[in-house]
Amino acid sequence: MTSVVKTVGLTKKYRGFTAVSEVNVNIEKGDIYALIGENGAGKSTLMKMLSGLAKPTAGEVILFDNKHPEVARYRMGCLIDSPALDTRLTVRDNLEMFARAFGCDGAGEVERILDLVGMTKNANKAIKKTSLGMKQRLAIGIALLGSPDFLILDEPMNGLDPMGIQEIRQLLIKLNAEKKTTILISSHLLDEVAKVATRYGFMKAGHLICELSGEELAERSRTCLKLKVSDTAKASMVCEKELGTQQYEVMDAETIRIFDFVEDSAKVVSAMVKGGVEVGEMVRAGESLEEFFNDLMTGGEAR
Amino acid sequence: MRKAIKASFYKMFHDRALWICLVGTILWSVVAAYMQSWIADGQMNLTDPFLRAKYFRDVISYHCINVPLLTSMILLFSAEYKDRSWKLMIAKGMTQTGYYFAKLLCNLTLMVMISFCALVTGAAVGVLALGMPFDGALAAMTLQFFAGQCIAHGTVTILCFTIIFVMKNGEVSSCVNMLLLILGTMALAKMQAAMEWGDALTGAWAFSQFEYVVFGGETSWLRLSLVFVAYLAVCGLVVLFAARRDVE
Repeated sequence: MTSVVKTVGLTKKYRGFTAVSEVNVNIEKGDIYALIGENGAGKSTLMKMLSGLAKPTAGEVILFDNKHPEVARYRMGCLIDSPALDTRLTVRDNLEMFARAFGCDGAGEVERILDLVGMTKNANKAIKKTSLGMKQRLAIGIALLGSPDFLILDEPMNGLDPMGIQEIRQLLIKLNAEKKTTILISSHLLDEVAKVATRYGFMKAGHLICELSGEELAERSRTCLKLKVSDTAKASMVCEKELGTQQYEVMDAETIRIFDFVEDSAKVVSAMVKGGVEVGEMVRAGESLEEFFNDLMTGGEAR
Repeated sequence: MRKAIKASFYKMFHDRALWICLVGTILWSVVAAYMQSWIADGQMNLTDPFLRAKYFRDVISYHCINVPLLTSMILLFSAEYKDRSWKLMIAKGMTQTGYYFAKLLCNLTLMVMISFCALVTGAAVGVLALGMPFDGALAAMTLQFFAGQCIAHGTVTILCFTIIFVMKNGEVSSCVNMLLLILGTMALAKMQAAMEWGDALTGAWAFSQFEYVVFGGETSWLRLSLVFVAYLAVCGLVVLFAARRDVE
């Protein structure tokens, strides 16, 4: 896989306060990488360093395998913080101006973007007269000018109505699928993020504390019965011989997860007892992204 | 930088401020020209070089042409820091110094354009309505005022834009610039008078230099040009230093 972004020990300090501390992240071509964390965790600062808006105190940013990121930045599109638009111009004029600034003012580019973000009808509206949702769509449109290979989107769903969120989500999925656009996205709308992301990075107090792939999160999200047992080896035998399932996973010396019979826990307990296994505790488990995040932030163990 | 210049021109021509300034300048030139004629009760002899210089000096009025034009430029440039639209250009790989010089170049062009319009309007009104003879001396004086105005106004534009770039705050930098434009010369003149410094302070202020350019036939191109180059060099260094900071 081709690396799009690689950071090595990336650190940012502001007058003694460390906003980002030694972050090593590797985003590969085609990834939709979700950066998740509480307010002040360092997500925006990390994105600013990647986009050249903040200079790292230490460490290195490698974009598209180029050690001089400023050269590679023309291949990126950004939406960081609130939409940065010229409020004196119209929607179309903003796009036209940025298209010129980005060197992609070819025929039809502005119309293509207007159509892509659903702003064709409002193209001649002054920015002052547009809603927050429209501004957000336009800001996403500006980020998409020139079909960048890598998109950085900081809270792109902010201010959008449910229909708008759905449209932007579909747009991101489409860009990723059709053009292999790599996307780095941060949002507090975890359910929405979970619908698009293929990889997750969790930040806390400036540190990247955990990374997960989409598959790993899906695995964690599977509903199961989590049992504390006296002997996991015996419990495994019971699963295979008594319950006839291989859908189980031994977590540690006394914990086993069973993915079958979730609705029939009595059968599982009965089989375990019959097989001579003492069951100390049994809970129905399965983490959503939100639960996983909450667990992580409150000090839960990361994988 | 070429792309930034292209974008800046697009923005400038699509913003009402430019057209308001242009119309305002032309209107002022006409009004200023007729006002002189009224004051002199139609007896003004515009063949006299001193009066002709006075006539052009009033057409290119600091408070009626330069201050409104600079105010518009300042508001346009500082608005990009207020709405933070400039950071999108930096995120696309443009350098901060490249961005600054692109904006400066674009606004100097605008200033040249507006100064030219003001002087041509003033000359046209003088010739067509006030009996100013259309001769080589008129062309030379128009050109002289045009060049003087461009250098003097350009110098102040550099200073104003550097203040905006360094402060990176739309509102505060606009206020500082306004105070500088309106009270700057006055404060400097008072200070140098109190300290008995001759023209040490206002001499370095571009608009004071502009007074020397052609008024009364005295020309001080070297001094005016030196002030321009000095402003450009000092401000350029400040910009290079300030460009090392983050875009926040």
